[in-house]
Amino acid sequence: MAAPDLLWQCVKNQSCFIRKQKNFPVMTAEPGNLCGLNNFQFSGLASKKVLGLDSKKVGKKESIVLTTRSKRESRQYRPGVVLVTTGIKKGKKQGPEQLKKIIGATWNRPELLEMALKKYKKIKTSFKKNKTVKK
Amino acid sequence: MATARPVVSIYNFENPSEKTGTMPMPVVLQSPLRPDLVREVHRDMAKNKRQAYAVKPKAGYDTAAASWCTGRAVARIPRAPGGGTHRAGQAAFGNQARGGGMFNPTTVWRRWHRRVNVTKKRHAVACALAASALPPLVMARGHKINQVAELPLVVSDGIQSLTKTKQAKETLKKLGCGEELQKVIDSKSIRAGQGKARNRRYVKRLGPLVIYNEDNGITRAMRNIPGVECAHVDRLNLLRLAPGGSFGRFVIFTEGAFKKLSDIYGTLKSGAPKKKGYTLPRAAMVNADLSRIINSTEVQSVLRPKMERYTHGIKRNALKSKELMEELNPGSTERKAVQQKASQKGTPEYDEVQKKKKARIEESKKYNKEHKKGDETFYKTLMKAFEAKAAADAAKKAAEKAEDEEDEE
Repeated sequence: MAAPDLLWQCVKNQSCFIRKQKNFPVMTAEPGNLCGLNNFQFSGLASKKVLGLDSKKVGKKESIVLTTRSKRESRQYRPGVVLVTTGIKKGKKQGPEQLKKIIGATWNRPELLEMALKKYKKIKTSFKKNKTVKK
Repeated sequence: MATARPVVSIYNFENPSEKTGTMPMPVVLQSPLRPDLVREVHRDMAKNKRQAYAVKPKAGYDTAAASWCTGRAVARIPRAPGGGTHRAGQAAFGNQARGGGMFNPTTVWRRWHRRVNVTKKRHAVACALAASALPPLVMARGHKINQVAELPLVVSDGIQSLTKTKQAKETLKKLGCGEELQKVIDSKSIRAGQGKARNRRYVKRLGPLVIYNEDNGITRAMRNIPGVECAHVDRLNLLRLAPGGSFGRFVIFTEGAFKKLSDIYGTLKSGAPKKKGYTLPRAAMVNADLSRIINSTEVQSVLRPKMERYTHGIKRNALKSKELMEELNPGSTERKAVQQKASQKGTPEYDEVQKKKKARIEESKKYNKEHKKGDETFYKTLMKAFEAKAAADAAKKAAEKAEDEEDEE
């Protein structure tokens, strides 16, 4: 696999996932991007260690899914299997604990843990049925 | 770039869930990634299929117009001669005139085509092939490859003998291209612009490029599937490998074609057997992984320790902040406390101070007694001396005066 820096240079301006808006940072829709920002730090395409947290709706069931990149060399060239998705529990305590366990391990972007926890909270509030608008 | 060549699986075209074999990846597919080179070569190569367009050479000048010069109360622009029609006397020739020629008429002898160095073209193709083997680049180009088993996708040679489009479509779907093919079908739309009236009515996305070695029907089977293109491995076209100048096309190789890549391009050491005098491009940086380089033991072991940069916090005024004063002038708070206490009656510090004061006063008194009383005080000595001198002067003057009186008499 090509070096992450090199891949980033190829992909940073030229990707079908890039979404641009006026007066707004450049965003990406690629899988495995925690913040959706078009940054080398968060890139789901260029980076060797990828972290993504999204909500997933299958029919009526809503779930929270964590995306990471497989470490196995053999999987790097297999587009269907290279990104590993794990379901995250929706429990108030269990979810964050599970996240801390998976992310906190040193090989998997521990510096993004805080951000992931914040996003987890936001996803959970988006699942709420009776949404009250904060004034 | 991997030091050992990764091994690529070959999928059975009839039953793509099973693999019929493996092959080491040809060195071409590990060429350095050079999007700039591909873009440049594509830009120039794309110009080579252009057809000339221009206005007629005579356009706007096919009249016998001549200027009426001055004196006729009209502008001096050439005017069409004669009479009997509206056209007579109308302006002609200028770009501003109705029916006149255009400014800077387009010509057929415009340089439509560009020649590109052969080596450059070859390097670009190698680079584009390498990009097609990297899932992030293929994904970034917009291909839907989530169902595809592996990149590069190599299929057994049987696919080259497919004759029916239906079969071909089935095979592609089984290989995981279903999403991709659907994307192409969904993307068909009417072209924006005049092209729609010029026999280029529809546009759609591009799908997979199937690269084969022997055409036993595959081109004809695949040609009617929207989005799918076929190419012979001997004649790879950059315009197909990097459409629009963006590399990372989704490519499907047949086994024979994949094998032939090594025969055509060879290795960095051997050069390309089928391309005379050509060797695959070398990367400017063999190991481009900056974080690995920086974190390697070779680099880390010779680094000096990290400098502690003094970061200035908010500036504090030592005269206002007691803590800062203590930091800068250690012992100042203690001294201040002592001074404070010294002004309070009853404390030992106060007594200290009073004692010192008393001692000072005693000293002073003693001194005064010695030096400021009696006959030997400074003032008295001074006055004595003065009086002595004054008396001496007065005597002198009296003597002089007595002399003068004598002289007068």
